[in-house]
Amino acid sequence: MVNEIDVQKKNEDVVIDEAKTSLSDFWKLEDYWAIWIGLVILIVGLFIFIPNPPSNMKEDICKCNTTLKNEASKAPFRTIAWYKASKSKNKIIAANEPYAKKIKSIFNKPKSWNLNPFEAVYLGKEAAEAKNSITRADYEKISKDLEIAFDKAGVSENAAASADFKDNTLNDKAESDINSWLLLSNKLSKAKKKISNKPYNLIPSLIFLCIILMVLFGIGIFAMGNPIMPFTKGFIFVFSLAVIAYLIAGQHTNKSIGLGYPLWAIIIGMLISNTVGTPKWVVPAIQTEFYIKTGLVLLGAEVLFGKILNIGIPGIFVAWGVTPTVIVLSFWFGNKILKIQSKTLNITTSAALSVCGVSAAIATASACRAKKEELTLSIGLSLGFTAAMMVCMPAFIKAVGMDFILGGAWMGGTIDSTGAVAAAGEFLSDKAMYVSATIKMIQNVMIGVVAFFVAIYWCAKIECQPGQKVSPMEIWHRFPKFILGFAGTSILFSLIYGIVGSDVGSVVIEGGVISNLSKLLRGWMFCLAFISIGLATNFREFKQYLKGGKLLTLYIFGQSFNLLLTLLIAYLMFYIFFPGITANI
Amino acid sequence: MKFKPWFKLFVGIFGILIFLFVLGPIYMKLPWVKPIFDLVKREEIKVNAFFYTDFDDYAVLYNEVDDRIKYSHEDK
Repeated sequence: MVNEIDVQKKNEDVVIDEAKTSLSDFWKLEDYWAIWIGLVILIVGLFIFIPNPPSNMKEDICKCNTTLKNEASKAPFRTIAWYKASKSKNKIIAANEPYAKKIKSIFNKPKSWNLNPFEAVYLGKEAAEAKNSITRADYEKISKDLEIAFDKAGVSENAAASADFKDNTLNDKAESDINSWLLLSNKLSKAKKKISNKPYNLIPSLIFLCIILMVLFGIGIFAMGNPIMPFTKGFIFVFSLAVIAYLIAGQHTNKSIGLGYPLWAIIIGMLISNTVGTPKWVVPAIQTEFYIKTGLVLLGAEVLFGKILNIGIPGIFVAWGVTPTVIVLSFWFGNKILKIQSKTLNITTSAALSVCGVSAAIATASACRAKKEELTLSIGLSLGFTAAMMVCMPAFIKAVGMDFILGGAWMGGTIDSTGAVAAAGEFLSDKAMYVSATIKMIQNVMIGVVAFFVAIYWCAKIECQPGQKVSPMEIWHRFPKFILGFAGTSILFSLIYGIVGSDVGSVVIEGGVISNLSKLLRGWMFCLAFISIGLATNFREFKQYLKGGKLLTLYIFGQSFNLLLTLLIAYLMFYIFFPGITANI
Repeated sequence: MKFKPWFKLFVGIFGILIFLFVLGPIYMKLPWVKPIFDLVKREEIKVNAFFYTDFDDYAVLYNEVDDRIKYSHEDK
């Protein structure tokens, strides 16, 4: 009862606080500052990367596309030249340019390590060479095997060509040999990465990054009327903890199990706040919402709608048909059956389990103004279930003999985190990995839509008194404005991606602005936010949410329904309605 | 300076280290989970990537799929 009153009081406060709109909101409100900072970063990125594409980009892409077209019309299977052209095209990215590498080196997070944590930030020349020498023998063996496989594939393809590609037996043999060569070729690329370790020292770049972020957020803090010096002092502490969170997340065990920086950032923050206590001088830098909102505006640029249009109708049905159904049903179940008191916790958890885990939880929690503990619980549950499902689902699929394409679609639609989906898919087969990854990518794009509608629904329905009718103007007053920044950057970058075309878009937008600038800064901002959440959270605050195991029941119910519905729709789409597409995978 | 809060902090840090270097590796070697973790290690899959852009291989995969759809034989 006390909590209900608190929630109601908080909601009333929100309505009263934001009932007026004035021009000064643009430079006084946190939401707008999140948009301005995000936009500045993205616009700077566009000005750096668009005028400086790789030399001869258009000619090289055109050459590759001509080869792809000619080879596709020549043979009923993808020839060696087809794959070589596709791979050459993939190598044309802005990220490979020297200036892009320099930019990336400023924003890089600590590297991965196994037993020596200093390797995360510093690696000497000798240590780099020692690392390379461990796997050099493997690389050389794969190189030799690849040469043999290439010759074999060439002979088979020539034999098929001499029969004008009309002999099915020869065609099948050529296709199979080319696939074997391709598999080894991919293996060699990975082995090459393992022998390409170079010495590095991240300490200067981390200090520089700390200053950049401190200045960016400091301007916002100052403009919103807060003193700058206390923020600066506290920020150095918060940033240092973010570095530690990234460092722990980069340890091999963590990387393999899938426990990423959000969890470690929260744990580190909570460990401090619940033992020695968060120092008072750090409090001005605990700006959870400011960091999250700015990170989300940057995340918007990564939600490219144009991408999903190219990659197949069955996946769109699986991801976009099931996801909204599961989120609505889970929310209803939590609300009506389990009677979970906090609607914000209910919707954040429902979004995490049905859309894409951590990122969906962050976006939805911000859209409905969920409490920090609610976001923490949703993320914790999502990561726990992801770690378990990544191991159990492929084992189950193999045990029951389920078709791997169906299995891939099932995992792509149900396992929350992207990396875990990739691992589980790859465990089955290349095709399963392709299907699961495609569906996950389509589902990722869904988070913008979900956050937008949750924000509208909260303003128009949840935050109202029973029976109260809300005017569009009132909805606007209450609407979390940073969501417009999130949606706006998504639309802007989707438009740019559409205008320049997917080939050039992959080179300068995805392989430039996003991969070398915005996604790295977005990661740092989320990490700062999770550290802030941890530093401001008391263990005892979780007690009220865990009472009666309602949250766990909600997750289990929602995820079970998700599993059943995804399996059904995936089967219908890939085997009943679009078997042709499935055969072409 | 109070001793108890600092003791609790060190216990927490010790707990993290135990997870990283003892419990985690033991879990990864359990027979029913070992095959997938061997694969993750061999292929260097970034399991803790939570958005598709965090996983670099996705960009390559997407472009390959795009090419497959745009440039496929008429019989396919």
